[in-house]
Amino acid sequence: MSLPDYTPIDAAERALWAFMTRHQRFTMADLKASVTCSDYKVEKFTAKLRRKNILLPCRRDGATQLFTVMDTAAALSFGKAKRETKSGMMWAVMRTLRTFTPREVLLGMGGEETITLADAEKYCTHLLQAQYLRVVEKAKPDIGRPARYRLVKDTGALPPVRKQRAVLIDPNEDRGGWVSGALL
Amino acid sequence: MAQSMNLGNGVRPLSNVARLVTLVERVEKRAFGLPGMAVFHGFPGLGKTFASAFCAAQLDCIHISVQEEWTRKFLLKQILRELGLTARGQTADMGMQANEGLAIAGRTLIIDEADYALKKGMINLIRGLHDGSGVGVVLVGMEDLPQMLKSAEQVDGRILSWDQAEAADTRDTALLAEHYAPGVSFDEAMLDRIRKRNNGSARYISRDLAYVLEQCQIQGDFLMTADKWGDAPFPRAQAPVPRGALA
Repeated sequence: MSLPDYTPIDAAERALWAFMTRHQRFTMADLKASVTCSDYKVEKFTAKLRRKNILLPCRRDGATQLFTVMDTAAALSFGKAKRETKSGMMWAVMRTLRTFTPREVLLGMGGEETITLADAEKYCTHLLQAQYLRVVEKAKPDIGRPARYRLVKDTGALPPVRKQRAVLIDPNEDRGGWVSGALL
Repeated sequence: MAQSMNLGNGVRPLSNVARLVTLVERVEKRAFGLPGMAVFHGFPGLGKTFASAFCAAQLDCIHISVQEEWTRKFLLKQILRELGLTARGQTADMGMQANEGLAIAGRTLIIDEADYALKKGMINLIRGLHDGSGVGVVLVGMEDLPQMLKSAEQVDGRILSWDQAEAADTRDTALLAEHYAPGVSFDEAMLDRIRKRNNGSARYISRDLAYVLEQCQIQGDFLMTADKWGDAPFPRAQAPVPRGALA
């Protein structure tokens, strides 16, 4: 992977640089939320990287500009590691089959031993909760019929993964006020 | 063509999966100068898409299933999306971007439903991607795909190898039984009966096996032989013909 050659000079820059190299694309808001330093420091650092042509605008998401520090080769190898995970392989099978049971996901992987039926079922449940899947045939455990799902939200080649983060809930406003980490 | 049934890591694939894997490996490991396109074709229900799913998951191939309404531009956008790249500019720019991305990634491209790609005039675009990036391209489609490709001479000349998806054999049927009827013990005659009844179509065999599991669960008997099953009906295999008058 060919990331640009840059050595951060202090702790704040190190934290910002680590975030930039961990994510393929990010917004300025993501970057600011990822660190504890001031917005002024973030803006100063990003302006420096933009002058050096290290930080590049890559695309827009509506009115929001997304940035990257990865060139094509770096972006391609960034995805490879994620696709080779357990969830990456299951996601690839789901995207190909479109309609499937957890057992078919396993069968699509040729009965890969490192992934169990429980893994496939758990991943399906998470995707169902996040509304990536829809149940097209309900499970009937009494006759041994598993639930059949359809992939309704195919967001791309990289697998959605479940992550747990600390969240600060403010009961005064009855909503989440802060989530640890900018990009979940 | 000989296929290995052992793909390592305890993976036991269906025979059509092994066939497609062999084809992918052939185009990936071809000698310099040889064309890198291949065709995997067969009747519906034999497990071609399952085989493609395996290649996408285990061999990191890019799987694109072409649909009837797709245009050339949309196909390029989909390929770029699979590569994790943002499409920029006109169709020609996207073509260049896809060539560059595929060449750097070195991932074999599997084009499923290639019949549509041929009908919609995308086949030369796919050939261009093969020529421009040097990656292997496997076209997956219906039984008559190789004959249909004869009309596109430049593509036909770049085909390194063809292989057919075959009807499920006894081993495949037993493997499908492990997945679709877990916990049920079948005798060989019963598996053979299900296989023959469905002409080796993996899709229909799976449906029958799931039905047998349902019946076993209802009866509480998990040993199923051909004798025990007797003349009991299976799910309907053919669409019903119109009945006569009601009276």
